[in-house]
Amino acid sequence: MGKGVIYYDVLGVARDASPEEIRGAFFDAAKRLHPDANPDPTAREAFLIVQEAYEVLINPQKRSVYDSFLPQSQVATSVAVNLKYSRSKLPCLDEAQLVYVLLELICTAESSQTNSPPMNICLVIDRSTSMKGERMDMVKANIAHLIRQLKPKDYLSVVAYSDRAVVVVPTTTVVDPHRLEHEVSLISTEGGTEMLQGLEAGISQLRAIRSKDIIRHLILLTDGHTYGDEEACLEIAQRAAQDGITISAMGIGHEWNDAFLDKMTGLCGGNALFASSPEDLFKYMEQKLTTIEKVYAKGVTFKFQNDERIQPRFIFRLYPEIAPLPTTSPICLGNLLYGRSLTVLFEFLVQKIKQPVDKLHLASGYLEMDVINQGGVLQFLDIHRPTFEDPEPELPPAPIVEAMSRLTLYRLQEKARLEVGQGETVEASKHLQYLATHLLSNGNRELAHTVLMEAEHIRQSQRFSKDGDKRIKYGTRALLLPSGLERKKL
Amino acid sequence: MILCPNCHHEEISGALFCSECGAQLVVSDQKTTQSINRSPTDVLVISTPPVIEMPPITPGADTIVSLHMVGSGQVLHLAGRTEFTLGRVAENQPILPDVDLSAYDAYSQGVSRLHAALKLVNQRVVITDLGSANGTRVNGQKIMPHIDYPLNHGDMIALGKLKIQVLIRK
Repeated sequence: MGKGVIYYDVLGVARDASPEEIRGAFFDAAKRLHPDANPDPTAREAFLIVQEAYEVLINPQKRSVYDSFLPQSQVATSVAVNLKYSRSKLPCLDEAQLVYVLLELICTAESSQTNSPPMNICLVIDRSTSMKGERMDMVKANIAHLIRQLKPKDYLSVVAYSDRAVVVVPTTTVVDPHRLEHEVSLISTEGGTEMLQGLEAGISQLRAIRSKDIIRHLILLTDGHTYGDEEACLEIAQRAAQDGITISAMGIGHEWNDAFLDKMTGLCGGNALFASSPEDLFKYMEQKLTTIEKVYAKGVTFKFQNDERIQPRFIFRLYPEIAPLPTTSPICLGNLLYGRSLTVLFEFLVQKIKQPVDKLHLASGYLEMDVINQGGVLQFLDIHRPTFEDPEPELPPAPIVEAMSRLTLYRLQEKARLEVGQGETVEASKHLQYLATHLLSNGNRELAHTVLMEAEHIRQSQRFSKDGDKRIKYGTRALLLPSGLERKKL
Repeated sequence: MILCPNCHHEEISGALFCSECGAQLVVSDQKTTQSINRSPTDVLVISTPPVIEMPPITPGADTIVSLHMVGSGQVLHLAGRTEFTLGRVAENQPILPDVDLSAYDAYSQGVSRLHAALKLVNQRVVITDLGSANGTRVNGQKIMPHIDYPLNHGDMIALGKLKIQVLIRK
């Protein structure tokens, strides 16, 4: 013992792991590290430590003695950073090349019911004429459900907007759910869609409670385009991000502007979802609420600089909530949840490299986050790789290939949409057919069928069907939610 | 530059997938990319390949070899000889097989009229391919025609595509 290694971490099991789990983890590690299987001298050392850890933990007496010496909990940095690169050494090439990096932030802190932070949720509802009837009813039913889910320490406010915004429920704790439900039920539909009004009113409601350790979240429900104020909305979202306010959007129907909402929510760590049915909306609300409850640190932001030869081409958050992120520093990555990872995939375009360097900085800077009940934490993060004249060819790690295989499908869809927008319908339909082929081979029959129908529709009428584009977009995006990317609860 | 083998689209070096057709351009360092979430209950379960259940043999006393038709689940008991030819009966056929497999879709599965022979030699069972058009396989391995191959209880033979499990009573 001693040497500062924690046997549980060595085996990668929880402190309350059962003997079976410990045995399983040991066998896995042994298969990897046993000197017979792995000639690397460091593996031999690692194997000895693993063996030592196993011998202690598998014996109940030794384990209880060991446990009594362990520090009770780790308070300091409970965020582990894990980086994977598509190549460990970059070749010096006369041409541009692409490098993929998978960044995983893993919260190793234990969550407990008592320290889950209070929430301050503001619902901003589009009440333009198009929401009339079924859509508004479904939104109201959802709010009623949400009200019943909130705890006494949580705050809620409701804003409805059309040409102007009305605060339906000012920020309040949920003391009298029936009264709140009644007030929400009185929202009527009229007028146009001016999102800026709604956002401004919503954010000022969220700012009303001045507590540091509170999760502030704005949920926007809309079914239409906003006119003329998109730039101002983006600015507001950026300022909201600085205040630690997250904006999520849920689009209803087929007319809302998904590209714009993706962009806006991406600025402040939220995401946009497509609710095609009342069940969808219901499910998303539930998910949203459970993710807000588990927040360990909010407003995780990556501020970075990179070598002038490097250009981040796209950045995509894969977990916990799927969303494309902006590619210019600072990037708000969103919230880090207890026991979960925050996974982000980067694609860097590297211009030609003339001479080998030790460190080519793809992105170097620091992660800033606001840990609930602890305050701001800075963590240095340098994403760099050495370059060589002629490195040996190597295979990219499986998680990157896996993630990219799904992301490629999403991008094929993006490409097709762009082409439809430019009137290149033949190309678009070809790309959709490629997409359908891949979906079929992955076993996603239903989505493949939708895509094929859409390809046919485009060929005949030169445009997407009513909500076909959004179905495909969010359908392919949902493929990015593999259980494989989900970290086992640590 | 990388040229996509599927659609000949040019990709930037280092790309993992073709942006035009979505084809994978690299191999991954792991064969299986699926990760299986382990729960304490399934840690030590060793998975065995699915085994086709063998039906119990309850024929007359003199039966030594039975054929389990995998597709239909029926069992044919062979008795009374030391050699059985397997095949299917067609019109104007001079020599008929001892065991007619026409009832098991033999024609579309590619069984020849005289496909193979099962022989009992010195308490052992052997199979001989009789020069069939689509060949005979024993446990997935194609056998040479006109040469005897020993069979064991539970072996899977395939006449063309028709799968049969051989059950031998000792």
